[in-house]
Amino acid sequence: MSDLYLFRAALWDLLRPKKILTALFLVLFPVVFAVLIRFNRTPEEFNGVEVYNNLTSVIVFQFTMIILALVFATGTITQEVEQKTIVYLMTRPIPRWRILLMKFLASTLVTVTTVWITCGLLSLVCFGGSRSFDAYTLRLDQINDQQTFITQFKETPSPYLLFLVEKMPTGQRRPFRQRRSVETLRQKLEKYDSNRPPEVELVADVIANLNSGIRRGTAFDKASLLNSDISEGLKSRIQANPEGLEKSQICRDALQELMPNILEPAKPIVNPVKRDMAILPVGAFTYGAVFLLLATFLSKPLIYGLMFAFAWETWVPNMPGNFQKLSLMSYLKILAPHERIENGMNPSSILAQAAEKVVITAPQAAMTLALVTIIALGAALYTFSVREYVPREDAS
Amino acid sequence: MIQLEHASRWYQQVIGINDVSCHIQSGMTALLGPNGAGKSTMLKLITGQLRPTTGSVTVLGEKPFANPKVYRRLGYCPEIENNYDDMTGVEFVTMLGAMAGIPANVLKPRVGEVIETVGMTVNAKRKIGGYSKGMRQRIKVAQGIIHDPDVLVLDEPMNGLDPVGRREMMNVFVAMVQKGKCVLVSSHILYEVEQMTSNILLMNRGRLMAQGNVYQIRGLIDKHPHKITLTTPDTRRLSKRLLDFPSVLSVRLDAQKPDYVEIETRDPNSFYSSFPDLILQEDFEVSSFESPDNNLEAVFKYLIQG
Repeated sequence: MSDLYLFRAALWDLLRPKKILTALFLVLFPVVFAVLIRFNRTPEEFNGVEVYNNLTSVIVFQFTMIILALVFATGTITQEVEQKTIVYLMTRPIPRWRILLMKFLASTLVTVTTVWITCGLLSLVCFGGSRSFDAYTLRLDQINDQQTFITQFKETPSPYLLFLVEKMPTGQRRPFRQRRSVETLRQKLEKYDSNRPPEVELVADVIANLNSGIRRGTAFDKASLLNSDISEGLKSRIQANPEGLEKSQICRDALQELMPNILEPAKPIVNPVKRDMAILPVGAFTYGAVFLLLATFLSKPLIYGLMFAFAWETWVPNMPGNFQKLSLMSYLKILAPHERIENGMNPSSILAQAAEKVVITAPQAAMTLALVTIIALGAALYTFSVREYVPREDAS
Repeated sequence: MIQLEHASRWYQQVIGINDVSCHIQSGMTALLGPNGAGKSTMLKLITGQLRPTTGSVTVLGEKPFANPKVYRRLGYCPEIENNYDDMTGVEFVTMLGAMAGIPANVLKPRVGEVIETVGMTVNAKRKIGGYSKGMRQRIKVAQGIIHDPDVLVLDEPMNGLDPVGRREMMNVFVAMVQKGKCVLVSSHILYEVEQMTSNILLMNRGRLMAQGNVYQIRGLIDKHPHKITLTTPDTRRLSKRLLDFPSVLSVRLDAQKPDYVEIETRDPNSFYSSFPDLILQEDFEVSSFESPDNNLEAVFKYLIQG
């Protein structure tokens, strides 16, 4: 019962109006951003997944979650020490580690609830209740055999693929630079000789063009699709006069059916909201445990925590090679990847993504985060149990 | 019940207490000394917030540092003025009572009982942030006795209490002693503790200077005039009445502080027993009441030199 009271008291303290207002501001910040973006773009221009992914990745994961975990987790100790009320807790017949654990759980619950609310509201603004998630972009590493891909693309008898080749150079409404690149692509494709391997840039250009067509709906051609060698199921979907995201999905599915040995099947579509809702508590717990550890032995943990959160955790994940293994955010990003949709429409991004080697796998990421949490929390609980928390100036 | 064996505690280069040995039994014991004497350090060692640098401290046969076994039977009323200001008095005592292991079914009546004991029933549902210094002292005592501890340690519990409050709190501590408990009270005001117990530990500059009967110390104190300061909106009327006390040597007002009165007395004991009656009978409003410890310093000087 004493643990329950401790938990409740800690929770009650975190729900004071001042703290709620701070949390509310952090909740509303990305949501207002999303609303502004939505109302400033036409429905065709607005890509829910893109906006959701960008805001969740940059604001919710890298700012809101971290700052809340930092303030609330360090506050469990620093607030009691600064106000000197820690003496009441320290002289209760409860092992100290249990006191800290209950307070930590309460702080993490508040952090998780706040980021959940943020994600929920963001998804409402970005998806507006729709259950579709546009993630149908191709990447260089999804092409098994580049030579066959280009050959088939250029010489295939499939009316749909021929339509795509025909469609490729006619991006009249595109800006000049893009139009020139399309012309270059067409020339490259015409000059292409199947006796030698294709240039990687050429493949990336074709993919970027395809993705653009899929995204903008120009790659959807009912007549060509129905004449192509695709399954009856897909044909019936085409005849149902699809709209919006369904068109993109059909285009991608048709490509896969027409090039079954070349294109890797699309990854199962993960609902980004559900995934984030599952991964955010992991992040809140891990960061919270690390910050709690700082608070157990540093007198000003907030300063060191801020340096860790917004200097270390911002730079290190962007470093090449194995450096990123030194950042917790790198592991979280593996568990909750927020791919940028527009990257699938830019050849240089496609090349860059393909060049990226996967240095951390999802199980490795999960294992590392679990290990860090256990070690940091264990060390924090131990330190709190053996350390004296009486300020020097208090002694007489 | 409490035992210190050559206990010393340093804060880096600064000494808190130095080679203190004593044995505190059930009954009431006062830990007396001027500010900075090491009283709070000693109480923090006894309540297990600090570890001794050398020597040992045992409470109820156990080392107290972070020891739940000790805390089950030990109550502590710290000197700090900060409490959980957003909680009401009831919530504060209930939380700490629950954390002290009082079963849920008896917690509520027990909280009501201790709140009544410390005279806080009327204000118990107000937020602690709005409490006066005296109310804070009372609610702190309530959390210290909620689990009916065998050892009660009180760090300057009379600070900020008006004379009536002091008397009421004294009655609470005396009642604990009558139940066979060990009550250890720290204070820098001899006359305050003198009314509660004759058993004192006298500390100065981290050392235990004397242990035993208060009357010998009092004899020394009486040679030095004793200063008391208080604040009241009715300074002149109260000053006139105070001068009627035979024990009062002088009363001084301060032009800079319109509600401040400084009293000098040669017989504090008689002053402390008559003063509450005067306040109550003539309905004076006294918002603070302090007894600076200059006179005690003088006694320590005397003891050190002697």
